[in-house]
Amino acid sequence: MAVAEMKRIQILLMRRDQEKLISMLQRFGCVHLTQVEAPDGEFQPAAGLTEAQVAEDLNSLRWAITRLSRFDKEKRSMFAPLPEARVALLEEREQPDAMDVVRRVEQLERRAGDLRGQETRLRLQAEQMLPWLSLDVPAQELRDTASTRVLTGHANARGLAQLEEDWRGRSAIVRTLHTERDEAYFLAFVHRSEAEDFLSGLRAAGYQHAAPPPGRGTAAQQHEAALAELSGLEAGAREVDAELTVLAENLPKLRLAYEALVARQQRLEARARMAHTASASLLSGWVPAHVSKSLAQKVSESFPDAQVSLTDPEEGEEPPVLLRNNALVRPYEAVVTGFSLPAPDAVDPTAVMMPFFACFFGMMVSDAGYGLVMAILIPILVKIMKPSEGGRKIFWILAGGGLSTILWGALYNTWFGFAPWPTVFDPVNNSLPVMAVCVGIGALHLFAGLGLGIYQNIRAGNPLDALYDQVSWMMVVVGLGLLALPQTAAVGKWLALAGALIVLLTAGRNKSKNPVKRLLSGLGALYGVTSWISDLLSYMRLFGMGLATGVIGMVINQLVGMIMGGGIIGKVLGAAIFVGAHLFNAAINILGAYVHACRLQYIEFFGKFYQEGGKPFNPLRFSPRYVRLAERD
Amino acid sequence: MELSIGQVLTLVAAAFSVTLAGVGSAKGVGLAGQTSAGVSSESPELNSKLMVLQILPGTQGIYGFLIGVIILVNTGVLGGAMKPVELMQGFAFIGAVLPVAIVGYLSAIHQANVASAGMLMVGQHPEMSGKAITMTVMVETYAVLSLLASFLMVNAIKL
Repeated sequence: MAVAEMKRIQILLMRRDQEKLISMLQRFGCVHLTQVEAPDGEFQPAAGLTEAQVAEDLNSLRWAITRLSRFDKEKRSMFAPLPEARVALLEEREQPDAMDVVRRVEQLERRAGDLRGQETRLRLQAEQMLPWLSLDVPAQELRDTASTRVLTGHANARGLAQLEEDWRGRSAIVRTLHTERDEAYFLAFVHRSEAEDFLSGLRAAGYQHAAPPPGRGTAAQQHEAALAELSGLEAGAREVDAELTVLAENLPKLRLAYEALVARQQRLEARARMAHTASASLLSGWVPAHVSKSLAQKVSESFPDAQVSLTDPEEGEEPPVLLRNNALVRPYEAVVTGFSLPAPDAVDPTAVMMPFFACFFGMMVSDAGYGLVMAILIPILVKIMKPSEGGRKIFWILAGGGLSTILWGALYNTWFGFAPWPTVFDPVNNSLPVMAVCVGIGALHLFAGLGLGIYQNIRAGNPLDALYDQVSWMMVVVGLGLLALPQTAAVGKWLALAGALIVLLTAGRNKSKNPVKRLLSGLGALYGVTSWISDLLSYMRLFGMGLATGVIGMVINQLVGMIMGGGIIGKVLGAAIFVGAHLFNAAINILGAYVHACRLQYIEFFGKFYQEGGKPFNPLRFSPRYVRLAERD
Repeated sequence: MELSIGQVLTLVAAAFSVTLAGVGSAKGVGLAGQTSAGVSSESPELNSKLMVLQILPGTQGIYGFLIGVIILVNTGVLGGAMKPVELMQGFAFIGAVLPVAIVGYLSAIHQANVASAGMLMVGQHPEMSGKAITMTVMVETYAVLSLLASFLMVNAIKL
């Protein structure tokens, strides 16, 4: 129920055994490797020759997997679990089959790129032919003769029609071939003697010279040829897609190969962290104390030559942080790690936080019906989906929150927005008691934080600090609280004053030796009373969020009630709206409740004691993305 | 149905609360959505984390709606026949919705700014999404407080 104690493990073994050792450690998954500082040049870190190659293969594999996923016919449902894989498969060193598939996908990709390039070119060609389609002469045969000039190009359509009209009966022929918006493409023959005159008329119509692109046959023939070639290309592209679709059947194999390669990369990194001489290797790392003995024993059994040593962390060394809690509390570690890990010698707040988190969550979702659905549905989902460890933690937090929601929902008497029996604890019509309960639970929460602070101080051997920093504030807050009741006001006054005096005198004890400066620091610290007020007020959100769920649920039911009056269609529609609207309300409030419950921990609760800053315990292990490790090999 | 000025003011108050807070949330969720789209285009796998940040500025609209509905319930509009409301009570309703309407409107937009900045942070450091959410929720405190203030005031107006 705390931050796991860590031992430093050092293993010195024959160099030829190092690979087997690394594989073994990866299977156990409980050693966080650290870089071995090579003492006076004797030990050399291993040269990472193959690492670049592995990284490159990984990149191509990842690329091929994304490329092929588009052709994956197996549509996996959102709720389906990841496929299972045995550890032995992830330990495969080489992946020749998978890499063959990757090479083939790369070839196909190049081919597809080629095809795309050709397609663009052909489309452009076909487009250029469009204005000249009705020209029944190949481009190269359009040549001036001794007495005529041949002109092709485009000009303003209206100007050209005018010109055609003007030259009717004279020695020029204009044929409009194609009109595109206001531009007309034309072919004209004109007698040389009148060419200049005709040209100036053309220019007035905005003449631009243009000619059909040269090539074999008429424009129409070329156009057709391009189109035929294009459809050939399409067939080629379809072939590529078809082959990719077939290759996509290899996706499970590729994913497995990817995982195996990632595992291999991690082993190589581990090797690089060790130090090696010609014949020996030295490994150093952290192992949780509770498994250290059995690990050392197993290593010694498998490698009789190896020297294994287990030592406590030295002064100034910061071991990585692993939270260790029982199965009930463990899911809530996700809330703590979502903020920041505690420092290695600090206290793990998860167990103390858990009941508060669940309680807050329940108060904010506050609809027993929703809670019931969550508490029943989520364990089933976990069973079906088999989520990864992180996902499973969140699911269990929500399931626990669901249970607490049933409790609070029953107290508030809200079941899917209905209030089936007379309410005792009614946030809408008699809100003051509910608010008082919220602030009361908040005060309890903050005091629990102070309690952890006291524990931390005492464990560190500073009981006086606990008195100065935590007990004093408890006296102030409890004293101020007692002032509210006339019977206890006198006690409260003295308690608050005594607490305030301690704060005033001691808050500046580490800042200065000058008594005046110390008093000033103490005054500043006393101002912290305002932060207590705002912290306590912050718990009002428990009331506000709970109110929101209840009232919106009520409104949904009222609307549905109106629709239900409208015959059969009304009943069906009403039922659909009832389910959909309540799902929406539940979803938005569950999210809100989760987020605000986290915030109350991070800001209000952690603010009272938390020492963050631990580095996560990140052992050498298998952590696959695409598959799930089989539980038994 | 003949409405008194007090009743009209009451309806105005309810409309005010729903509208202002709702517009603020719409702006906020919209702004955050744009940032979310931008960050997701770089790293699509973060989309679900960003979604949480995007809908956070949406709660103000719900709070405004809530107060609006409570007014409608308390004055009997949702029960069928609207109760008589005196002129001064009508003004009181308008005063009561001011916190949730104004704070809701502004805090949704400010919250969206924080959410957007948080998304950019998550884009760079996905492991910090917890902190980004916490930062964003800090703004919401004031929306919750204004909701409470409005709620207490509305409930204090006895018809």
